[in-house]
Amino acid sequence: MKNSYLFAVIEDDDAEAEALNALFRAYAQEHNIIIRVKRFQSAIALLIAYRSEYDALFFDVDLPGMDGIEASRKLRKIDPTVPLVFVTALTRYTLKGYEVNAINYLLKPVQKADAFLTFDTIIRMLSINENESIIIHTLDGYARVIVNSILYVEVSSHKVVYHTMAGNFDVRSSMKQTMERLDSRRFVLCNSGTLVNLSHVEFIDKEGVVIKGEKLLFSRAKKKGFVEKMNVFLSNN
Amino acid sequence: MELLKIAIIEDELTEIDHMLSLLNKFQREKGASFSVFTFQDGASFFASNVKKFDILFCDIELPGQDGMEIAKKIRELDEEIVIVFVTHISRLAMEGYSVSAFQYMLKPISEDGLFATMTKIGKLLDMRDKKMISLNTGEGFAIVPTKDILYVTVDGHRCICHMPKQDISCWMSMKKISDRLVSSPFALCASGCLVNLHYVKDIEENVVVLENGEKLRMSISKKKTFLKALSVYFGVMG
Repeated sequence: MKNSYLFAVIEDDDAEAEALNALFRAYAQEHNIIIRVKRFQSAIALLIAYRSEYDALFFDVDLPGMDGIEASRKLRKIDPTVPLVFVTALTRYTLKGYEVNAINYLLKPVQKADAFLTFDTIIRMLSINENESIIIHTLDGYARVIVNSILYVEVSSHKVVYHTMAGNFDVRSSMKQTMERLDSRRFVLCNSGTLVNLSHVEFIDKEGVVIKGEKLLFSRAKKKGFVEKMNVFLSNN
Repeated sequence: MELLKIAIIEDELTEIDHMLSLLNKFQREKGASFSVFTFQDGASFFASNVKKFDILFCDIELPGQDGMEIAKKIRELDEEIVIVFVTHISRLAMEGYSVSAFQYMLKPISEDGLFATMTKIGKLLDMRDKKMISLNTGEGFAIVPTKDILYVTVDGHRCICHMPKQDISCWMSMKKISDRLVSSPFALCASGCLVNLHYVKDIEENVVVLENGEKLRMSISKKKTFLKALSVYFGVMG
């Protein structure tokens, strides 16, 4: 479990931001961890520079320019899992928080007990495997992808395409680099240009594998290794 | 979506009917399959085997324990169950976060709202790690989540794995299949019939009734051990 976290706070009021920082410091001290904080005065400032590098985001709702709810919707498109917390004086957006899978909705002035429970939840969430994600550099910027949502990755003229349950992403990368990022026990080549997530394979026959109805063909060179890895995978799962 | 088990806790019958008709429509249109259980209060819900449920739709205003209390109690037992509040009251939305509610829906629920929620839940459950088994079909191997198998029967030299949407015939012996399923809740109700205990709804005389209505005969020689396995399974699950 890691012990250093980076949180982003999107809050235009200095006093409110400092109140939150005080809570972070108190929690960090109590739990013997390090919490670094990056402050943004507006949602737009966060979104422009966003590289999915934060462990959690704390959004005020009432912000200049784009409000926190709107910003979190845009954010969820490129980052489906980063823990999100709303910190606001307004109660009327509580329902909207569910739409973006917010972890919590903290009312100002934020109570220590509520804040600490929220931080506990964030830290617990970050250590769960199912939420494991990687950040990919797409042609439009950066996106966070949940590893287990990746169906397969294929090479296509100087880029790779991640086929995921949330859609396809074109990424500037090579198959070699892609394979270095993904667990080789779970992601295996069925041919030199296609890397398959074993946990989504529905059917294997002489010609190839079927994932979500699509057939991906074996190359002679890769077939045997694939089947062996699949057997190991199944016996471990 | 495999045979999901959905619990609804709701004391107003018209609301229950509304939910059931929406869920049935979703099943038909999206090709999903569920079995739905309804309860009118927390007490009757907790009297059942609560850990078997995948999704809970819970009203908040209920006789006895209110929905929030029920949700807190079930979270202590089961971190994985997906909780959706369905209520007239909007002011408790904030508390819903403390039980990691997936969604907080206001009545009356619209078809779009329910469909969207069910689709999102489906994707979430799809990404969870599942125990898989490979079945030799002769043409190749079908890899299926063990949770999708309702029961397995013998057919000559082969076995048939019965699942909600299809039956897969495989070139494997019953022994081989049950060895592979040993860490999942399966038990023989007859020497040629291996049942997934998760889907057992009822026992009638010498018949096992499954959630989907199918009935399987218990043999005299296997009945005792089968019923024992069943009570252990339900005992363990609370």
